Amino acid sequence: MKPDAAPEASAGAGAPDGGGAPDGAWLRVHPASPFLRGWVVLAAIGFFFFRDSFERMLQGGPLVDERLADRAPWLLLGGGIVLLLTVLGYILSWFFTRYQVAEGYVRLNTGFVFKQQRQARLDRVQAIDVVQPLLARVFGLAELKFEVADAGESAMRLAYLRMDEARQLRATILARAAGVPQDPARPGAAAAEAPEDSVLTVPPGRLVGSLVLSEQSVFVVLGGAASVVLSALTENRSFYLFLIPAVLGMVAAYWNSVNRGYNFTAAVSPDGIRLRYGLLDTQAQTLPPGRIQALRVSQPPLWRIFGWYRIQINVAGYGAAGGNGEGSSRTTLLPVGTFPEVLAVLSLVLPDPGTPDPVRVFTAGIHGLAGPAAVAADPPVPARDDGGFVTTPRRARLLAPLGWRRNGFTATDTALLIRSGRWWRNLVVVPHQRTQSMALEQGPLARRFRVADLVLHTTAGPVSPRLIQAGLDEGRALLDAQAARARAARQRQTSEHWLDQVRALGAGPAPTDEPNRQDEQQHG
Amino acid sequence: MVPYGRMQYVDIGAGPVERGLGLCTLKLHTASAGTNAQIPGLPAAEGARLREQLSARGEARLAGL
Repeated sequence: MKPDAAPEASAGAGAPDGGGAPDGAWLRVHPASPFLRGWVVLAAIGFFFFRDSFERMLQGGPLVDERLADRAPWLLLGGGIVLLLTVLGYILSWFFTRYQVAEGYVRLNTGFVFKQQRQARLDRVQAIDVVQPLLARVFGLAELKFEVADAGESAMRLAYLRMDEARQLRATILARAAGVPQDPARPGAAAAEAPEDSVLTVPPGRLVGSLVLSEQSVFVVLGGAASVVLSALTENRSFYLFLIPAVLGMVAAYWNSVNRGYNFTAAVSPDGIRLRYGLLDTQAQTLPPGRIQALRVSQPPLWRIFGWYRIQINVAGYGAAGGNGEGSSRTTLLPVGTFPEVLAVLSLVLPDPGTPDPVRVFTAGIHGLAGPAAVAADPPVPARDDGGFVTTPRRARLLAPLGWRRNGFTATDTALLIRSGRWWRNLVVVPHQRTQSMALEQGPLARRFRVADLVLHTTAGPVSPRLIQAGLDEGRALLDAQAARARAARQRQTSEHWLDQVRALGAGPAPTDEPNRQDEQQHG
Repeated sequence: MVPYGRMQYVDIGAGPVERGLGLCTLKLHTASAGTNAQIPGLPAAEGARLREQLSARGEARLAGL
């Protein structure tokens, strides 16, 4: 089959009309897209050719060097051809980029020399992001990223669509993926955008405060103090010069954090959790229910002053947070939040916590410390007041003199909770049906103390669940129990269509009785 | 070996030479970065048929993550 033979009868008519496109039509992205993506190249070409003349003009000289004057037509011609070829390439790449949403698939054809046809199932969707870089935002355009569970790159990037088109397409894809029954009378009807309820926003003041109190700032202060002391000791003034690049780097890092975290809003809709953020570049993420593979609540020591926490997640499509910062902001579910907000977010991610008293269990997971009575026994007994966490046995307290009463685990009916860290507090939550595989690890020292680490393997991301120094017997028992629980949970989850699952349960997921949920959220 | 239920998406690519010869390359993507399952040099019609068939099988053996 020649790729051109695809059904594209309706695609010829330029820009598609927003939303009302019939099912299965091949559509093109906005004609301005390649120019928005490639403006750097155009600017570079322009800069290359006009820099010289511009400098001359500033110096008051003639526009073109006399020696070059006779060759100027050729130079202009060459430049013109390069420019023309670039623009032609952009137009061709736009013309040959087409997408289609039909019959449970999204298809994307690209390339005019190296053709590529990509086809992904809608119910494989892990997340949908609508991204607006600053320039696209000026023109009212947006990029739609369709994430499936691959190793980090977006499966489909539709750049750029008009904002209302992008939102409409997102609603259509999510509705199909959720298994919303289509109206048989109007098979191509556009899906209504799911309503959403705002759950929390991060005020800018708190964001700035969290940055000031971050680990990063501690290093800045220490580094600054060290350099001042050094320059005072050596009486070398030029020492400050070396600090300039470091300061520029720090400013850029802080600016990035502010730009990404500004105006962070989390909302809930039947389609899943919606996150919006960004000062200049705005981004809206949608995480359908059950797509979060693992979650970590963490608290650096200085954040304890104000009782702030951070939540990071693993989502299959997002991959590991690379050094570029994009990954790290996409895998942040809550950049900085108070304890009630943390509980509210946890209730969204785990609508059914699988325990009659979720507040007590999660509180123990985040703050808890095993009492002396609970750990005096060997093996340690899970204490009721400690949320049922099983901690490192007393015999191994030399291995972790501070953390041994803190490092521990507990399992609810739906998720495994692992806590660790006395100063850097961490709580990792892994839903049972998201457990990929497990390993029990034991070094020579750990063997002497008869303890072992249990590692839960999950998809690539910032969270790597590891139970530190559990007693050997407890660890082995947990390994077996966890394998059984994961199998059972997977059997309960029969369909990727999340609405089907909710229907199968009869009603929505069991509402949690947390006191911090201000508004009654709807779960489809 | 790639289990049907583990396929995340299917790519068909064709360079200029392949297109001239009426061939294409089919590539299967899974959640792992290590998977390198591709079938080069398929006749184009066969590639399209295989893509539909593989996608349909993926549906039949659906198993998420």
